[in-house]
Amino acid sequence: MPDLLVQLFGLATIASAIRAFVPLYLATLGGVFNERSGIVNIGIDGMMIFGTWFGAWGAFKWGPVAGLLLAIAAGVAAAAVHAMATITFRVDHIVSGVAINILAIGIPRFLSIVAYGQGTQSPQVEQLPKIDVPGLGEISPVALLTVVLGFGAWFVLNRTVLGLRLRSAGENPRAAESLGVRVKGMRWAGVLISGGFAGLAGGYLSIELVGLYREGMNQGRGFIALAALILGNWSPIGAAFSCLLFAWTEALTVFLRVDWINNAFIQSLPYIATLVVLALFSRRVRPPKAVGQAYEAGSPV
Amino acid sequence: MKVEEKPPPPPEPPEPEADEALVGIPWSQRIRNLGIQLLAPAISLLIAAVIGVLVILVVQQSWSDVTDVAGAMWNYGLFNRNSVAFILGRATPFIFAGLAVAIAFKAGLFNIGVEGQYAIGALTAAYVGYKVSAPTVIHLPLTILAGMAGGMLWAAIPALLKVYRGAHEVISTIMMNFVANAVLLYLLSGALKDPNQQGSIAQQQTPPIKPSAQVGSMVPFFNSIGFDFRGSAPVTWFFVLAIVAAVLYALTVRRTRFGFELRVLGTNPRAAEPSGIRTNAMIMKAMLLSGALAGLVALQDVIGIDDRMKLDYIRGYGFTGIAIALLGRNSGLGIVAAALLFSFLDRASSGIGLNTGVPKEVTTIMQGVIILTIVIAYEVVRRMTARRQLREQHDRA
Repeated sequence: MPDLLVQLFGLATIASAIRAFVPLYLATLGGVFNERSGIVNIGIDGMMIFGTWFGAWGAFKWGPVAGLLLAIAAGVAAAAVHAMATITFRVDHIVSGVAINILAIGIPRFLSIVAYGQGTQSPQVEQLPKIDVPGLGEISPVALLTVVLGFGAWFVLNRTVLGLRLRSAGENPRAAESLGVRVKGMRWAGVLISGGFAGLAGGYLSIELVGLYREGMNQGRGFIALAALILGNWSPIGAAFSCLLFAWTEALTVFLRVDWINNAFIQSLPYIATLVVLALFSRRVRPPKAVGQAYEAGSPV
Repeated sequence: MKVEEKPPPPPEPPEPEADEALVGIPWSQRIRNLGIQLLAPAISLLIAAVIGVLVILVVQQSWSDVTDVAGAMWNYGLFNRNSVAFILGRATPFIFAGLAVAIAFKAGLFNIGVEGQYAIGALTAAYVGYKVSAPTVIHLPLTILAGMAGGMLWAAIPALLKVYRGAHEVISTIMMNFVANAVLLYLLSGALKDPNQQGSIAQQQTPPIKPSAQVGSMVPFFNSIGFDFRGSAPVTWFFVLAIVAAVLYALTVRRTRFGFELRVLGTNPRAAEPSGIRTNAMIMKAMLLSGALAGLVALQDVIGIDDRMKLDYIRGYGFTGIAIALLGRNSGLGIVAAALLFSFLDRASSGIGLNTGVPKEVTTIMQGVIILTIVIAYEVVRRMTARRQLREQHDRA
């Protein structure tokens, strides 16, 4: 059985898990911001897809840094649509998020045809110079940035006035408003930050991890991030651990080969893990109290 | 604090949303209500058209392309020899998918897993279709039921996870889509693979469905009433089944106790349990019905057109179904209309691809814009009418 142990916990598996951790954790961090501010964002997956497309396109045109910035901008733009629908027009959060995900199927395909002459793939793009980390091999600078962003997110949420106000908008918007917090502004901020993180996650995926855009490359990571958010109990630190778990299952799809499980099912390990996590933890966690509820200043809720 | 917290109590309770209350409303009022209801789709379609034009102008930078595209959509989309057959045929899976999403919506549930449910339904139907031997009167209904059962089975898992474990159905149904893909890959390259399949590159598929389980083409019928479709035009008698399903759906939702309880659960979940509705049982029933309808989505392709199940069966009908349910406001008639519209856009898209230099995917952008603007437009119109009602109450008081 040592062979199986190597497949499960070998250095190659762990290194691959860390690479898979980056986009998942970035998307989950974004989810922490929008949900703590009171807005559900099912559209994270779509925002990541926009990030993958615009990231690869930007990198193809002007290099990887511009690509990553463009990916963030694309995520923020999609998030602005979601924020306008849910906060300004008070459309159901899930309906709006689903609409964004559907847009993220059609628009990238159209754009690919316009930009590359074919609908499903971009040419190979230039990547950022890799950093050599002893023991793990070469990793992308974005991975280090992700760690910094994780601590930054924790600090902003728990140690700053902005974080307190943002969380109050998601816990008890009425009380927050009576203390002078601009609830809608906080929610806009939460959703836009979320879009930025999702866009960066997508940009990392296409530019840094794969080196090109391919249709369907996101493979539902945005939805796995939502499950990681639940398992991580809506905290940046908790999300780090839950994302490590999911990233590990993603690495197993590459490295685990056992003859008593068909490969088709090994490939769907991250999704099965998500279902298991939802089944085990959905009732043991405490979501932000006012998440998903529309809020209108001065109106009886 | 602009809106008054307590409007004066109205003299008689106006309830324009309940059907029973509609009986006493004069026709002029009813027509105005209908106009308001159609306002939102009209605004949404207009915005989609404007954005479509803008996209073409940005990409091609010529006005003649816009007129070319409009011409192609109109001429090819509607008046090509086979266009009507294509539109009806393609609308069939769209109607089933829209109904599947809508019945869950009615109960306040989001079934994003129609995609996986119809894949599994297609698989179970194909299995019964090629394995069982029976006369058509038994075999065909059995095959259709097998498809519904397959979809139901796949919807049962997220439903159980929601009722017993509190797992949100949006995430779990999406995950089930991915797992369905794995099941397809596993069974179609193994147990259910056609042993006589030639070549190694050909995509995996099941053996052919027996003739006793196949659904006939509607082309002979249409040609006998004056149309002139090509024999291979993809419209089958499943279209009639889709219309029947839409009518049954509308009757169930509006005229039965079950439909009433469904709507209560969807509009006010907190009031459901105290008013004697068993919430968990209703969630299970709604999801299972949704899955059963989803199981019908791909059946036209399996037992009407391809006469076998292929690996590429996850074709995006489920996501289109969400759009159709939203656009059709979860009403039976609305869903049929929306399905026909989206089917027309698909057909028009082929016309754009054949006859113009513009990428035909411009219609997918228009579909996306419709989805997003329709939800906002409905919300704006709802608020407009609510404000008007409030004003009328004030005037009366």
